[in-house]
Amino acid sequence: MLELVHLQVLSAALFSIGLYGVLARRSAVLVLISIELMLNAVNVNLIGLGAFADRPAESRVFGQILAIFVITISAAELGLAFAIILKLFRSRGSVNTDELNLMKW
Amino acid sequence: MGAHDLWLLSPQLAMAALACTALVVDLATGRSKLVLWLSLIGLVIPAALSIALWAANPADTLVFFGAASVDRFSLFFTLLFTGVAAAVIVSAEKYASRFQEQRGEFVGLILASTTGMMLLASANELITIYVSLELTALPVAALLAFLREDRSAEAGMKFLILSGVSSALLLYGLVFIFGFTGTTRLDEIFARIGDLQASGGFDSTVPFGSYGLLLGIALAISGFAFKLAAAPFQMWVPDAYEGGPTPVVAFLSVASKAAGFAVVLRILYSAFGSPELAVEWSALFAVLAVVTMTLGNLMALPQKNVKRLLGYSTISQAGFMLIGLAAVSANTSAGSLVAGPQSVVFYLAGYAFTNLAVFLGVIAITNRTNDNTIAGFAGMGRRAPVTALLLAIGLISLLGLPPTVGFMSKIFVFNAAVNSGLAWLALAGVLNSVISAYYYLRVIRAMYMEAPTSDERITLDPSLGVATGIAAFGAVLFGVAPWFLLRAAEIAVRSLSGVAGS
Amino acid sequence: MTESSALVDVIFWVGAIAAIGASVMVVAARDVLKSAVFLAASFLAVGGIYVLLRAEFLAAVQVLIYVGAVSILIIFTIMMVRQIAGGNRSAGPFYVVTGAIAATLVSLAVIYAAYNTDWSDLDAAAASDQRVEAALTGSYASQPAPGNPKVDIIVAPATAAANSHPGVFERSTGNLGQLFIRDYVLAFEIISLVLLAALIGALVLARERRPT
Repeated sequence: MLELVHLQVLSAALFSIGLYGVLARRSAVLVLISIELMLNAVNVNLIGLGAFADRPAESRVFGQILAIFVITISAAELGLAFAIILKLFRSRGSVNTDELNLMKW
Repeated sequence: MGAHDLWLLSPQLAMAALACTALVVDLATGRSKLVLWLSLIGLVIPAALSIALWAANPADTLVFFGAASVDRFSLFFTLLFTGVAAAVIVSAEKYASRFQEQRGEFVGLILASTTGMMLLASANELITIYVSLELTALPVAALLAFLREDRSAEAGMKFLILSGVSSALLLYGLVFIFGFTGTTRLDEIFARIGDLQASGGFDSTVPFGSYGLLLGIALAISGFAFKLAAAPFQMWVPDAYEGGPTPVVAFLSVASKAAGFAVVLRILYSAFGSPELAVEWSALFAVLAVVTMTLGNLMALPQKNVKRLLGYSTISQAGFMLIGLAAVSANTSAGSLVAGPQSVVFYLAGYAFTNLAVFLGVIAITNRTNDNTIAGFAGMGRRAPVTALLLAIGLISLLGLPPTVGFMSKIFVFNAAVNSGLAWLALAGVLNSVISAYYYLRVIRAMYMEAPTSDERITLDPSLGVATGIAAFGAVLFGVAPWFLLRAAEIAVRSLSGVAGS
Repeated sequence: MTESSALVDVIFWVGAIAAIGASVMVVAARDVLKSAVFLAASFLAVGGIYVLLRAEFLAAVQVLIYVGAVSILIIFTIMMVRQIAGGNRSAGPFYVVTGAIAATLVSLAVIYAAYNTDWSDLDAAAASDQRVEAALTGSYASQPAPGNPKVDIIVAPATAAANSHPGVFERSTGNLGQLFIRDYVLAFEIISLVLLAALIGALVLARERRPT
């Protein structure tokens, strides 16, 4: 029997895989991809909470609205990120994104 | 949605329209000077609308089905952001020659980000908060990458990635809050939590009454820490500050931080303002405050680059402001919940004047010398007497010495902390102020005690000079006579639901 | 959910394992291009779970935007800047350990909170909320929201019962549309400004520099 907690555990797993990718990988592109994983995990949790909430159908779709906004904004964010990567690529001729020093806190 | 909604949200709408106008005029004419001055004049409109709304003080502040609340709290910040945007645009007049070729877009993006901040200060609903947050962050990420140098693109990239991670954490937190309370509106969250407490749905052995809510609030706060430049998300600050264009950095350190504090204050008091919960998050912010200011101060000590130094200084200043968030139960004659948030709002306004004076001064000098190291500021007391004086006033205010607004801000924040039984926190703040003297005074010493590297005089541009002068004047004025600003901060804070209701 | 619940369970487990497996591969793959392809697979698996929960519109958005646009954008960029492809190196042992610890802690915290929170507590609270109460009796449209004397949009009468089918959405697409143009219209409008700003920013940064 599918329960809310199954979806929450799935979401936690996806989120932590994304978090690991952000922290442990050097390439900026992979870090961006990992952020997408985290956002996707958030959506899973959101949809689960909406689907299992004991409320009328109208108020249960609140969560889906946020999920759609998350997807839209993450697409915009990625577009901007790749523009910056492209700029780096041009100015350095040959760019190794992992020379970005992203992890030098 | 009616005329009432549009009237209440008119400052934000005017700012959005101004951003679009700037972009269109730039596209049509390609004359960046025109765009710059047109936007400066145009900024009068949202400012005037904010003042008119403040004076009108409409009884019904909720607009767009409760998505935003245009109360005096949000109008206070709306006005603040408009002023900061004007200063940043003025400061970019000369600086913009270092951008690749896109000066009109610079203004448009600054105004778009300002629109996001204004919406953020009035957002009353979780989804609107998230979307406005992204509207403030994305243009800034693009602006940080505007310079020709690689460092600038790296700064933008780093900002974007950390903004993405922090908004993922924030969203996860918001999802738990939404899941637990079943609503996204802050006032409804407050009501639901009240019901739960009344019906015994809260477990008193668990912080925040439930693990779900605890996790939600903890994740949301760590997400917001990015905006505030507070621990544990302060690490992007120094690199972004060093690599990004200085006007954008000034915008980031003043306006972006104020927007972050505005939205955190609203969420805390409007949604989680019940006394039982307030005690819990007060403790959380007390710890964050100590960690943030100590970390910022210690890291600032060995810095040689002024912009990097100001980055760490921003972190430590965020720590001082967090003291005000922790001071929730200050019992003063003004009322139980007012003193803490009032001191934060006052601090933010004073910090805007102070930090703008510092950044505009740095821009005025480095526009000519193109040298961001502390050594590059040697002898500026002789080479650029006026600029150096204004810059020194700003630094003294950051340090918190009388007769500047920085002194008053710290007095009010520490006072609120002592009144809420957090004397140890105030003591930690005083100790940190003493440490910070070392690096702030080092810049002043370089300007006045060290021999200049060249005899060339550095003249101050009229427009930049006026803006720096206003900022430094404000920093002194509100230090000598803080009462007007303090009263405005109190009115603003009292209009927050949750503060007034107690 | 009676006779079909076994099937639902099977589909969920297949989707969940596929999503987690693909996500692990995203982080572990040596080649960033492979990571991007596994990312698309992970998005697809999650989209399948959305269909299972009857969130069809969201599933469509997931496939169209995440798989169709975002993954393609990533792959396109990797192809364009070819040096990225081999660059999925570890950031060093310190960061691997930190990342593993942080990821474990966060997932444990979330799972602990998920198990130990009574998510149904909110039903009692929900009943007292005016908005939901109004929705229950179908009188939402006639009750003007505070500050909005006139509400022009007529809302379809709500179902009388609360969630009669836990685990699945009902009529979610229609309700979504109504919420988009009613309760969340402000956020919906702000999004357009976000997209404009991102567009301008990306355009400016990626524009070919004029030779000087």
